[in-house]
This record gives sequence, C-alpha cells and structure tokens, in this order.
Amino acid sequence: METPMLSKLREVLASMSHEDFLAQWAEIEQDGGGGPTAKELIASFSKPAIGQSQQFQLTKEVKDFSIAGEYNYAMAA
Amino acid sequence: MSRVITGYHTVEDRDNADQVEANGPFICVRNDAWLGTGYYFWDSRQHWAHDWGNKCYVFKQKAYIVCEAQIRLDDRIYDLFGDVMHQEEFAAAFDELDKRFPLGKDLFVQHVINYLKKIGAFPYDGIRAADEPNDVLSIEFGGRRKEKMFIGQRVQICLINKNNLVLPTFRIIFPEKYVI
Repeated sequence: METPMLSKLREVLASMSHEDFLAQWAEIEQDGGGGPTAKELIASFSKPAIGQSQQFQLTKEVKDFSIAGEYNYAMAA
Repeated sequence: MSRVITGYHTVEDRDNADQVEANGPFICVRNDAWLGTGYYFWDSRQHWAHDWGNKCYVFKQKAYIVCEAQIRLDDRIYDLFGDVMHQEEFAAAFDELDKRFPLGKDLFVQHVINYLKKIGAFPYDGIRAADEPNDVLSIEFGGRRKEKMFIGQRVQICLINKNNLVLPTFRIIFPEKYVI
C-alpha cells in the first residue's frame, strides 16, 4: 500500500536511528496514555476477538444475538 | 465526497451556559483521550451524548450539558469507521512502526496518531472512529452463514482543529432550561 501518509512515515523511519526513534517515542509517551491499543482497534475492523462474545436468545424472530465484550474505547474520551 | 452531520458534545453543567455556548466546543486534553487531543463529538445519535453525561457527570452527582454542531465530513477527516482504505492505511502504518522499531509493548492508538502528527505524516483535521459499548449487539446471519452484523457501535469524531466545524452552528440543546 502506498499513500502520502505511509510514504512520509517510511521516509522518516528510514532516516532515523533506533535511538532517535526511542527518544521521539518517549516524548510521545510522556504525555500519558490510555484507551485501546492499535492492535485492538485494528482487530475491531474485522471481527471481535474470540471469546469476547456471549450468546443469548433475544426474540423468536431474530435468534443468536450476542453482546460484545467489555471494550469501551470511549471511556478514554 | 463531502457531507454534513450533526455532532453532539457533552460537557459538565457548571451553571455557565452562556460561556459554554460562546466558547464551545471545548478541547479534550485528557492524557487518556483515545484519539488524542481534540474536540470530541458523538456522531449523529444524541443519546450517546446523554449516556456519556450520565456516566461521567450524573454518576458523580453533577449535571451535564449537551451541545450540537454541524460537522463537515470530507477528505480532511480520517475515517477509521467508514473508510476501509483508512483502516488499511492505519494498520499499515502500525506495521511499519512495529517492524522497523519494535518496542516490545502494545502501542496505544493515540500514541500512533500523535507520532504521525509529530513527524508531519498526518494530513487530517479530524478522526472518526467507533467503539464498542457494552450494549453492542450482533446478529448472526443464520443458516450456514457464520457472519455477524453488528448493531450499536458508537461513532465519535475527534476534531483536531475547528476547520471542519460548520460555524456558527454550535448550540446547547440540553437541558431545556438553557435552550433558547
């Protein structure tokens, strides 16, 4: 995949030492953190993680509803 | 493609409705704001704003105000809810970071976004994304089909600046005593 965002990111990362990256990332983290991880958000694009659904009967007409897991990303906002 | 939606913004009621209407929306600078610093709105569905008010304020014996504003959804909004290409791009950006300089820990969404902003690689004025509140339902297609359709995902918009806010549409809509 090639987009302006990814091109810029690759360009910056390619021109940077590991130490410089760690220093930059430390600056990012010093403001705090919370909410979902990138992996969790990316997983939500496709399907919920296995084991995070509970099945129950809701109506005769529409069967097999489920309640999603305990994710609540907006708690951070 | 561009369209305009109504966004809902919840704030604490400090008996300062005039100030809220004159100065809102208010930027969220909480260090755990999941999409980073910005002006947070619920997309189109007003009851999410009330749910948030109840959870954050009524629960603590405080009151809340809900405001609405028109927001332009265009190519300046990074749409992690409705644009599959943006979802793929975000996943690819995460992979680039993780492969090039693995940190050995999970990266928060807000940190990835903040890093992209920091290096000048995030050409957007806002982010649209969905979470999964506890009352999200899924319906199985049934029969031999294993797929599910999800209902009730909450959609938020975090405006990094006010460029996509249609001014002057910001106004209080709740509680009624403040509605002119």
